Amino acid sequence: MGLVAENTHPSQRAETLSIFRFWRDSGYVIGALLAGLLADAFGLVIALLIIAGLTAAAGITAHFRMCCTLKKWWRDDDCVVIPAY
Amino acid sequence: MQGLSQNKYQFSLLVLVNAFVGAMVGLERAVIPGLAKTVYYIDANTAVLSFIAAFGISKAISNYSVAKLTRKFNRKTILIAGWLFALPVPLILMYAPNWNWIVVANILLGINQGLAWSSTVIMKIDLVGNKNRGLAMGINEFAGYLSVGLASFLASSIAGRYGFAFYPFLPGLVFALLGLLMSIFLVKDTTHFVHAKSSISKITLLKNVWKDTTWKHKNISTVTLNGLVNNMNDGVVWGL
Repeated sequence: MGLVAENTHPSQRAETLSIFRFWRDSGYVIGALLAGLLADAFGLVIALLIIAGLTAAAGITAHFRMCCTLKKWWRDDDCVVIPAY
Repeated sequence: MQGLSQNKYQFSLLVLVNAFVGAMVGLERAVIPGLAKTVYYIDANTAVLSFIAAFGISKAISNYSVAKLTRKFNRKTILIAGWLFALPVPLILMYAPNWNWIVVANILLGINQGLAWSSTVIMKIDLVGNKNRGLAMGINEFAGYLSVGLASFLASSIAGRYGFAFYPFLPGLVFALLGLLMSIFLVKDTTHFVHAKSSISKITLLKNVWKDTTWKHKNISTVTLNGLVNNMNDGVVWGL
């Protein structure tokens, strides 16, 4: 949430945070339903492996897509640098 | 003036209010499966799933509605509205004649969590400014989830002694009343901090906040995806 706030203009901050929190809490429902469906279809081990895979994919996406000024590898040239106040 | 030390009284107050928000959900999360089994003769798994679905969906939608509400109302009003939704929850859980009422209580609890938790988060960010934002968020989530745990413990102890019906929800009534009264009489609105910062911020405005937060803006949408996946794992553990 700190990162979402940091990347948003103060006047839009309440909105980006609310939308972020909408998706974040949808995760509870998606997770519970997905776990049930996958476990019924493929068994517990495969279900947990698929979920672990999705989690890893999200982490890797973060590495490639996000711009941080301290990032050393795969740093984008059109990286949005957050101006200091 | 923005800053953590400049606003330590209001900041601590919001942390405390958020602890009460967390306590409301902790209480319910611990008792619902037992209540389903012993009082309403419903399978505990079905009960947990209906709790997650009713509560999760209404919390998520309420979170989103805060985005729209902040255009019309100030933060304090949204916080108070959130607490008003909490007030009937313990009463419904104490006197519910059938399981449908429990689902209604879960929906109301979700609205309470969405409005109240989101508005305390936004208010804390308004209060502290850039420098201690990470620390402020850390303290907020720590206090919120610590009280989820403590309230779960309290409710299970009461349930162990006096059974799952009625008594475990009594503290909920106290939490909701305290949260509401503190929000009305002690919490000060923070919207004016935003106006002060808006004129000097150099960050460009987003064209479409929904699209940017969800998939367009590289940094924000990636954090959104990771937030979703993080809670998805919580939902997986909770649901299995």
